[in-house]
Amino acid sequence: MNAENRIEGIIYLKVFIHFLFLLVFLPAYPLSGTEPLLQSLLPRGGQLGSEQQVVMNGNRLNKACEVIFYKDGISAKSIKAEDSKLVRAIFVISPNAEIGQHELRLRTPKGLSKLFTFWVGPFPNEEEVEPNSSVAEAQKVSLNHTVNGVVKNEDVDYFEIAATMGQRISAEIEAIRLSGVMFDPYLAILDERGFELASSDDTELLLQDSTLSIIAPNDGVYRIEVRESSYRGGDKFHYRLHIGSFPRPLVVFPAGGEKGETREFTFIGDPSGSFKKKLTLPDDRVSLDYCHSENGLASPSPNRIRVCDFPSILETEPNHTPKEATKTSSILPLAFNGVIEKDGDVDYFRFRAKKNDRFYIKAHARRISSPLDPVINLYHGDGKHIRGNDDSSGGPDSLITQTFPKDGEYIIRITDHLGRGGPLHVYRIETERLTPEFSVSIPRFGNRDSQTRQMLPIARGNRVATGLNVTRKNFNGAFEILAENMPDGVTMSAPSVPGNFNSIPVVFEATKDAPLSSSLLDLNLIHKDAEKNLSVKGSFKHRVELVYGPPNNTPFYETEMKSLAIAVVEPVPFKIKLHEPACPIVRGGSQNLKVEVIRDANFTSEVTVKILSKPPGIGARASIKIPAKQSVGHYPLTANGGAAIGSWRIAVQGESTAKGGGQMLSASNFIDLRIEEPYLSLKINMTAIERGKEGDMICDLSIKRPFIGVGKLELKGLPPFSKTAVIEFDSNSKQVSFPVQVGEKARAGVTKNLFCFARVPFEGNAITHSVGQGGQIRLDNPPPGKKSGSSKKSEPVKKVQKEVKTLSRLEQLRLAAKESIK
Amino acid sequence: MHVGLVGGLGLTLADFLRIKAHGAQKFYPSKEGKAKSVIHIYLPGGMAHQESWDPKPYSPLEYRGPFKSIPTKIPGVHFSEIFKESAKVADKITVCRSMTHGEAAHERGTHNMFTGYRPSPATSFPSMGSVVSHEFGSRKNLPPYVCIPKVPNEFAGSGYLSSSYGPFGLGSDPASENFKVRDLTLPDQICDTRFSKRRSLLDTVDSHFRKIENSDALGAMDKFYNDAYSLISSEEARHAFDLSKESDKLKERYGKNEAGQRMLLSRRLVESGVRFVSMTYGGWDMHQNIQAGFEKHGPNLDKAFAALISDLEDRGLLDSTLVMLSSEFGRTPKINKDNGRDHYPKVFSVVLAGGGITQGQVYGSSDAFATAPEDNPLSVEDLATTVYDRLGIVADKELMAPGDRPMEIVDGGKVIRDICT
Repeated sequence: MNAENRIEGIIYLKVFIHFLFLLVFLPAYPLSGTEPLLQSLLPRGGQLGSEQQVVMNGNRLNKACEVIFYKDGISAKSIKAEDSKLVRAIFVISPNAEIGQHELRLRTPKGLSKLFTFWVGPFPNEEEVEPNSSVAEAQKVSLNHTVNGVVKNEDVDYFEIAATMGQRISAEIEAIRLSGVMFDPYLAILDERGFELASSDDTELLLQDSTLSIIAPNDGVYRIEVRESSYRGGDKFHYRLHIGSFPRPLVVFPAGGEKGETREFTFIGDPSGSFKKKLTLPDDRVSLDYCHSENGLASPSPNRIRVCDFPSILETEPNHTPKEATKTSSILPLAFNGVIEKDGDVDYFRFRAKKNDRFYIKAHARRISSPLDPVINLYHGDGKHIRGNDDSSGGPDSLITQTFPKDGEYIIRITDHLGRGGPLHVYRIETERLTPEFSVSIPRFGNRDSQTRQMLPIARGNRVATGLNVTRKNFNGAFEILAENMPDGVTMSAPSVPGNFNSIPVVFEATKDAPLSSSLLDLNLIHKDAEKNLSVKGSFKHRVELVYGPPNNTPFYETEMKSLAIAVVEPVPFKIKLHEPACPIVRGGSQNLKVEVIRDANFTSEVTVKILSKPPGIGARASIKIPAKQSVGHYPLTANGGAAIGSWRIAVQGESTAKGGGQMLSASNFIDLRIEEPYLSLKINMTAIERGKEGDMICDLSIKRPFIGVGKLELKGLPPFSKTAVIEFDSNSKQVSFPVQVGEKARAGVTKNLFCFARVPFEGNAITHSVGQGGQIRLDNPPPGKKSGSSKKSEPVKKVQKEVKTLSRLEQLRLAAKESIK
Repeated sequence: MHVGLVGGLGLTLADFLRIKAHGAQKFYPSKEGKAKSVIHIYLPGGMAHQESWDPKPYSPLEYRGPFKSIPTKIPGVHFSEIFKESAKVADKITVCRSMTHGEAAHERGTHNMFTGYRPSPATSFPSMGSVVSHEFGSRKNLPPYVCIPKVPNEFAGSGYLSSSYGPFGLGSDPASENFKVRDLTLPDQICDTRFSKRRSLLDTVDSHFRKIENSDALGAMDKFYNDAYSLISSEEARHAFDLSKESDKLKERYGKNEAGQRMLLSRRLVESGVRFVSMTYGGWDMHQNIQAGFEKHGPNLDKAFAALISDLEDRGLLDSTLVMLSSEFGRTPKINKDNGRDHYPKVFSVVLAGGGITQGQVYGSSDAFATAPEDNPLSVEDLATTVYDRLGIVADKELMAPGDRPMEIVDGGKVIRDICT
């Protein structure tokens, strides 16, 4: 090897080492995407006390490492991402897990997926096997099994079972509740000859989903028919059909009880008749979801029993007149329970209330799976009507909000809206004291999108933020936000929330070495008022709309989560710094906030910066863009005349598209934005200036607060071809005047909406005010006599053509009538 | 009626006699005016005036919106920065910033802008295109009223007029690669002989029908067939609809996208003799993220519109072609919580150009926050009447609605002389 070759070799080696260096040290993040996009999870459920193999499909699923379940009793193991689109896992379902829906998210090192659901049932699973689309081809299944199936377009699935006379045959389906497409199922039980013994479309218990239960009239073969109610279908129309001899009570009476109490409940609606069961109600929840079990066979969905702080009153028949009203000497709060047993039945209760007590009187019927459409009316003890209600909050259940005018007796009346009744028409009227309530939620990212940005990926060594919207009821106090279950290395900063704020930012920060992990945070909102001895608690809420349907994408099935999912994720290649403003913003003024993108060496992409939430009265662009390779941007803010005076914490968040898809997020630090009263006000006096001449616009100044130095005034909104200069003023100015030059070309007429920018000096900077809105200037034509070259022949005056007035039809008719009289 | 009286009413004897001849129906003969054709660019959804023709650069940010404003060729007049090409042809157009009506629902606002009437539960009014078709008929064997890419809404039809005055919808988008106008050629498998056979068969059936049935619908049907036959046999028609005849350079100038190719075809059609072209572009119902919405649809519209105006001018067609750019309403002064704007009919902008309309003018204005017209409010009736006037149609003329009920083409509008040359 000669010297030249050797040098060349060294160069190659250097390049190679350099390349290796790049390979090793170039951060991987710009090449891969962000949070995983989970699109399907199959099968849609599994059996209690079993291990279920599941397959998850989607995008950006690489390195999936955790499935986070919101409820206890279920966990995932052997999670294996085969590629970016497919993950296999085993769900371990404990025998103590709750029957029903379990919410989950999939985590990768880049983030959390949207919320998905998985269903737990009491029976072993079976797969649907086509062809089973005719009675003759019905798939044979054993009793007390769950079939995981799909209804294709215009598909009807049949399942065959054998039953003996007197045996209970129950069929229940999870279709819309599986949270996929708008799948409104239909179920029927057919006898051996193909005749329908019973059918079910929508139910009070399961919404669009169907449930059926009959007693077999003979020994023999029975078939269960499943389809979409209007014969729609497709690859995503999954269902879980429970077929068996399990009990299926439809309603419970009474539909609730007091915390911790043990009482007997009657379960109504099972084909083998009503039955009673003694239950102890929990003292830490607002309801008990109870799946009745008989001979080891449990209903695949629970009956809900409400749990309250106050005692229940049960009706004693007869009580269908005010005189016969079921009477209690107890004082509100109480819960009145009964059944509208036959058509035309009306129930009355007589109770006592205290003067000035404020109560919600809520009639629960549909909420407790009763077919009753309740109408309630409230009366004084002497029968004088106070008020009534039918339907509230978009549902058939009714609500009265009442402040009781005096101590004494009152009567409540309940009946069905259409006068219907029956053994299932159970009701429970709860009286609930009006108490302060408040909650926070993450604002929706888009219309009909309840999932995007509802979970937070916090990049290691970085920050992420979200705005929180505050919902208040009977409450306008300030509160603090405290987080529980924070993962290691993560901190949250949340400013205290003043009573007049309905939107606030919170910022999460992860240390550089925080472990990649996740957590379901409980955000506790705490209001304490020592003077009033008041302590109120609120929580985070996330309403997840899981199925949309016509019209106009109405949510048909939804669930509500009370914890905020966060995850520590791999680093992102930029940080955002928001600089403290050098001066306050004044009411009616404006200001630019300086935003800086601190880029990693290889990161050059554009960054979009968004303000998270604004103090009341502050206007801001929705976002600004900091172009590729640049690092500084200015975020303009304006304050209106009613902006909240004070100092408020604000933050911004930067977003940049990751090369593999999705948005990388990094939030700024908090800064204090001070909002103050303006230093001056100004009135522009109307001026008239002749075209081609000069004139003055005089403005009256009123200095509200003294300042040091000289301010500048700039007149804006002058008509074209007229100009003026920037003028100065100081703390003692009372009147200023703008010299205005009007060009020959300017058009005569009045121009409105003139105003001034006033810049008041403040510690080496200037505070911008917009003042003097509504100023006017009139430009006049020169008087005709003064026109140069007046000796010239005057131009012939153009004949102005008179507009021909045309007659409307009415005018013509009037004219004709007039004429005929003549 | 005494003859002497008519002088006092501003009617000439000739007018009077004509009215007599038409019974009580108000009649004015339509004869071609300065505008020989109209291109109506309709922006469905309701385009925000603040982000387009009427920016408010000094209002607070929640009113101002996301864009800056730029100067135009009209001194002192600014457009939104999205409309930078249109700003360069501003001296050729008239922007009316004081358009106003009271209908904040899409279909009702659309009805206003297409017919010049408030919606009525009793009457289905004809669209401007259908009235033009009724008054002037076809020119050079071409359909008088064409919609690109399709009939945009139910109010673009012929209303109470015979359906034979309805629009010819292309049914295909000029921006798509395999753009082909239906009804101009015979289906692939059908040869001329087979077609004539079919036609004579249809004639036999039709003549039987005509013997036993006599209705307007049958007449209209006949006219459809005849129009269709003449379209298929017309070389001019095929030529007019053939976008491939346009140079690639010109296509680029308009923009190879929906806005550009639709406007290019509009120009091609009016050049060939179509009287009224109604084209739609984009979705402007930006309740959310108005910035992204305008960034998506605005630049294409801007480029195409500016190209259309200058192309028409280059070809000497601007004086005879009235271009009207409108939307069903504007949008709310204040940016909403989703960073969009909602429906707002109280004030918004329409743009007119060519065909006897002034150049380089802003007519009317909105107030500082674009919440109401500040001066010269422009009503739906006035706008329609002015457009008809430019075409040579007196909008006070009555057409016969069903039930022998004469109805003015526009009820109570006046011609805005300030925007007419």
